[in-house]
Amino acid sequence: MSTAPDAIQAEGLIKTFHDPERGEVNAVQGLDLICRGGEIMGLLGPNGAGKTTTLRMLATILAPTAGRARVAGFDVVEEPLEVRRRLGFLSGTTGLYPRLTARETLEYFGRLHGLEGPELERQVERVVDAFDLHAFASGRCEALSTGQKQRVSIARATLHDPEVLILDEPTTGLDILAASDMIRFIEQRREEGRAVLFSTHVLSEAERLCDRIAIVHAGRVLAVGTQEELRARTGATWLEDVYRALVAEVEGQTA
Amino acid sequence: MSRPAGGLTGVVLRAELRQLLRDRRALFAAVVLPVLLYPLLLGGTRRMEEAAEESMGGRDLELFVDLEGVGAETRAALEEALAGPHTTLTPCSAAGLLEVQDSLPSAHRARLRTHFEELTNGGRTAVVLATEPEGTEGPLMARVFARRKDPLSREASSRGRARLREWSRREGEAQRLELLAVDPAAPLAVEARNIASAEDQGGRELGQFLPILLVFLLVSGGSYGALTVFAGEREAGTLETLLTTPADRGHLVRGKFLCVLAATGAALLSNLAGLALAAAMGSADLPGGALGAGRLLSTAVFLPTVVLLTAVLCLACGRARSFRQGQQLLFPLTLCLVVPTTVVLVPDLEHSIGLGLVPLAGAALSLRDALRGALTPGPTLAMMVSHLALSAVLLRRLAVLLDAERALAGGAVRAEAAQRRLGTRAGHVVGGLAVLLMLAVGTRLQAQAPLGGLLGTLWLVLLPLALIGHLRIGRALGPATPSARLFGGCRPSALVAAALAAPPLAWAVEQLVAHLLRWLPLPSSAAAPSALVDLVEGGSTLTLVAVFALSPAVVEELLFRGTVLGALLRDGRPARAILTSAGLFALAHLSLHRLPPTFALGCVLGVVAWRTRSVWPAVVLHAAYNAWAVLSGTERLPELLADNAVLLRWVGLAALAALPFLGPRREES
Repeated sequence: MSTAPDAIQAEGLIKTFHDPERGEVNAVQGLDLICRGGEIMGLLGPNGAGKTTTLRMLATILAPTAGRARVAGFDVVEEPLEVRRRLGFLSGTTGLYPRLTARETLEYFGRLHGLEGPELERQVERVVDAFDLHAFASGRCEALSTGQKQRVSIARATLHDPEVLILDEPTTGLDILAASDMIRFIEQRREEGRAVLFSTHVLSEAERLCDRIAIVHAGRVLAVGTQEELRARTGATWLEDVYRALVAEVEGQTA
Repeated sequence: MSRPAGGLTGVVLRAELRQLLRDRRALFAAVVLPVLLYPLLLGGTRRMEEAAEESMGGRDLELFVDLEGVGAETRAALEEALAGPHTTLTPCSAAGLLEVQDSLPSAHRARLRTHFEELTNGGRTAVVLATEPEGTEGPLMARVFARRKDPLSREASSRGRARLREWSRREGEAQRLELLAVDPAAPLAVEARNIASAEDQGGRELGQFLPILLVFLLVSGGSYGALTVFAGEREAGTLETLLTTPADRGHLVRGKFLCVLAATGAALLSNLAGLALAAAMGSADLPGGALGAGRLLSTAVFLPTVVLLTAVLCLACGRARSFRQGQQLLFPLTLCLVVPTTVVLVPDLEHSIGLGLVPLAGAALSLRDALRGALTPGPTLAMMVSHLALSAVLLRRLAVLLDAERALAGGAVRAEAAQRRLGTRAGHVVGGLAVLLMLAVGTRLQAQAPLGGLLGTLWLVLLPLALIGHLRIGRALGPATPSARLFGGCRPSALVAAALAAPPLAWAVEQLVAHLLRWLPLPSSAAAPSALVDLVEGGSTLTLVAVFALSPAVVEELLFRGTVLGALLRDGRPARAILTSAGLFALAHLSLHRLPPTFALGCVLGVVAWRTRSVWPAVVLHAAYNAWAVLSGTERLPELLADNAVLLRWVGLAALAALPFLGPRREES
């Protein structure tokens, strides 16, 4: 096992989409990030800032154009399967198979993660308890409400008890109750000593949850720190103003 | 994690199958429709035929008769014979009909028809005219006039003729018995016997349509599976999740592919079951009704095709971003897949190794032969190997398609999309202009002076169009991206390969043309103008090559590949661009007979230009192809080449296969 203390390390991560017709699209341009075990870290930025691309690179779905990233001590490019074994991934657009029941979905993904027999059963029961899925575990996913679906999804993402959880705007499209459930689940992971990296553009979520926040703009991290550190650095009280001040700082430099 | 390698494939397959089995539409398409289609289709048509016959047989008809020309005794006998159930006889005077018919050339049939209608109050019946024999010995003549287009008239005619024949048979027998006083059947018994067994007969009939029907059923049977497993996965947003599990992509693709294969396989089995059901329903004269188990088992030669069709379906649905987009794709795809199988409709086409290599056409012919009980091992082996190899290639593409990079990369930027569409429009304008100019100017010039007209059209009309078009498009839309820039240089190896690739291309086009002529005979007016024929026959080899090979190759390639394809490629959809440019290229040749071969040629040249990112290999290939065709057509091919034609064909095939990979090296592109 790795001896690295950091759950996620990204250095100079660059993602350029090569599209022969559109030329080059620079989605992420040299991003550095460190997230430790037992820590909740938020990526904060507007749409198109490169949050999703960054998270997908860390989740081994996209290959970085340049730079290095290690998740749970494994390189995302060289050992993607090892990374995926230790990673739970969930995004706001994640769907479920409409014709499988919640329990079948969990079992399917458990098997894909290499769980079998009693171990598989044990883990499925664990998440069914943890996320309180009893009432609808044997119903087909197509019949579930949005909030129930998201609970099944997060159960699915944590079924193999991953060291690192990466969540891409996990509360998008959820009502207040479902969103607060999700926030509670995320806090629970921290209590269990796991690392959580999540992206959002909802400032209140970030303020409530995050141990540290990385402000992302145009494919770069403008600043990282606790909320106090960020406020001290920019002199602003509200996170919104912190963000504005940081963007103005960068744009003033480049102008 | 010491799970066997196939384990994860099985996990994926089981999960996918479980979902598919819960999808009623998928089950209907894969099992219910194939089982029921055959009995319903055949049962339905039989019932309709029976119903039509019944309703016609029960119709009251007024049959017009003119029996004045025969003796009173015969007249009475004929009247008795003709007046059966549902039939009343109306006497008339039909001599005029006979006169009109005899005196008029066929061009005046209209007047005959008018006369017929007047005689019978509208013509929806038949007229029987009986006359005494012309000589003393001849038989009694009975003519039945009818209009075959009209169902009532047809029924009246067939009823009249059937009753007359029956009377004639009875009368003849009676007379013969009277004359000979022996049973006329005794001296010689003649009986028609069909040597072909019922199984052969049925197999032959089935072979004419089952291959076509099967492709249709397999595609429709597997389509819901493929849509659910690939397009549905993407639409539901589960693909991303799947790709973050530690399951290798190969396992995912194989599991999904096997699931769709189960659906197409089920469609095949269901269809065979439907066939057996139709036969069991008592339709013994049904094609295939008499087919033995062995003959039915021989349809196993179609299994590689099931694999191939599954792979094609998976690939098509894997490309679709949504269920709906996939569905839209399926109809044209089905048509494209069914067309090659219509080769079984060509009478007496012999299967060959070459045909076996043609996707789907080869399989259709093998299945036809298998049903006839005359399976040809060589072509069938070639078919099986080529179909499975093609499936393997498609499966590899499929694994790439599941690559999230393509699946999830950001959408098109709107302004850039509009810019790309402008490129497409420019390509259409230039190509369309070329077709119009050929039609308006080219044909006129060539009518006046064939040789001068041909060269003039090429160099003075089309070449300026190509160059001006290219410059104007470049000025209006800015420099093209590398993949749409076709006027650049190329690797020398591409030029060599292009020159070598001509013989197989010429051979393939020759086969295609020969095939076409079976369906669409060349009208005599389509012969080339005599001045060109003189040139072809009398001109020196050098002149021939310059006029018929170099000139068209340079000008047409610069126009259709360089300018038109280059503009179309700005759209970023190479397949569409190549097909469109080939279509325009074919249209510009202004001949129905040359449309398919020039289109095929246009596709090959388009792929070559696109892959090598240069128009020059296409120029060389076009010139070499034309030269080979003209010289071998006039038997002037240099001996060294003519003697080694077969070898050159194989070498050329390798060169042709290599051409798409002779594009610019990575660092250059």
